[in-house]
Amino acid sequence: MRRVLPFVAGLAAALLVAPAAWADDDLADYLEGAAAAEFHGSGIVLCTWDGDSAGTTYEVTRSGGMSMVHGAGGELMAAGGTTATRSGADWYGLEVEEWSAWALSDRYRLTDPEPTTRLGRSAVAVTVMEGPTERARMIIDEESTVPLVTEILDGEDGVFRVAVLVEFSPGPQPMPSDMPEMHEQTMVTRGPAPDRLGIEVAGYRRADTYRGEEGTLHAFYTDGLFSFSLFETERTRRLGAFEEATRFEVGGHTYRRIVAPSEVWVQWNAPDYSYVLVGDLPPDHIAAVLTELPEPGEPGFWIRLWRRLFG
Amino acid sequence: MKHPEDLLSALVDGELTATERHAVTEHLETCPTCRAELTEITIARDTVRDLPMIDPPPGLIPESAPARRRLLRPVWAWAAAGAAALALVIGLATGPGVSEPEVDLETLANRHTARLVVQPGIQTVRAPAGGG
Repeated sequence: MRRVLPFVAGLAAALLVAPAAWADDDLADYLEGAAAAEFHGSGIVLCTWDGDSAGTTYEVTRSGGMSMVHGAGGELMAAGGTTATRSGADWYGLEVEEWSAWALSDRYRLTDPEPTTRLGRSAVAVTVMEGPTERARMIIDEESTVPLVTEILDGEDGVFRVAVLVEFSPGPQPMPSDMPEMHEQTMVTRGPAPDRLGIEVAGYRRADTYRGEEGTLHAFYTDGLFSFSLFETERTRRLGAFEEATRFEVGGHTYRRIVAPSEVWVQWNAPDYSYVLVGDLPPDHIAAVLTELPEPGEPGFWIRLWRRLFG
Repeated sequence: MKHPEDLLSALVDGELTATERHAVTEHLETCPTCRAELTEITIARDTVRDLPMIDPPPGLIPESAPARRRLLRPVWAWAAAGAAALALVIGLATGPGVSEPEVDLETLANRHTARLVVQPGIQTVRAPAGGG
């Protein structure tokens, strides 16, 4: 293969300000409709977490079951379970063999939609509630259900990520008839998950586990709205891009993070394995997840020496 | 609104207030010039971030120049040898080894994205990995 404050609303406040909730089905319908919609658009995505920030612009086209995304970070094509990314003139493919059915967590509720307009089109403004907390605000194109504006909130009324489409053309689009010819293609196959990685972590369900190259374990967790991948590898102190990453603490333990426009990366070393978490979940969810995963820690001096000498 | 040239970098850096961010994104919807400039800013920023770290050549920094060899008395030589052996043991136990795998974000990003795109979610439109 070739070579990112706790907020507790008072019950009284929640009762006063929480808008009437819709059933989960309405949010699920919006998300499923958006995932299947055909359109072309260009937009901006920005992410900010405690002074770390990243942003980029992108163009997206979806039609005939195929997606193409072009941005400052590169090019990506996806169809079915195959994703291709381009490096120079060559395309590199990953084919996911199997995956679990998508399901939306019942912890989210949608507020009543308010009619509005966006980019000259009929739209609705909705808020995704997680209990009494506003989790996301969206302006959704009424015809296609594609979100034209998405704001992910950090649990303290702050905006963690904002994605804005500044151009939008719904309907079938001209697309290549097939995926590009791959310079290299790798099959991603399922594998067993160890007990140390929970089936449910802070409200996220472990949907699938895959075995990667060189023994890397890839556990994919999702609550239907947000998702993250947890990669477990042989313990390493060669951290690559994480060497200069921002350090932050959760539960008295130190982690490293890299903020990218569409996702956040977190790295830590437990006594026996190294972990990398990458996902689009907000900071308060990340903190909750980290407390339920293997904790950072060091093996004893002699264990480290033994491993180094004898593997 | 006039072209907000000075605010575009601040937008990417997340340094704008909610009001400023709203005004700038609203302007971007109708201004292809500023959208193009924003794209150039993000590309330039990513390019600088991706530049490799290069070690300075020997001698460029005075401290890194080879120290002049001196003859040591035997007792000091033994002490130095012992200290070196101890440092080797500590280094073996605490330092990163060449056989340890390096964290490779690009490979992990591709694997995450490959699984992510087969299901709905809050961000059905995703920027390619590495944009930050």
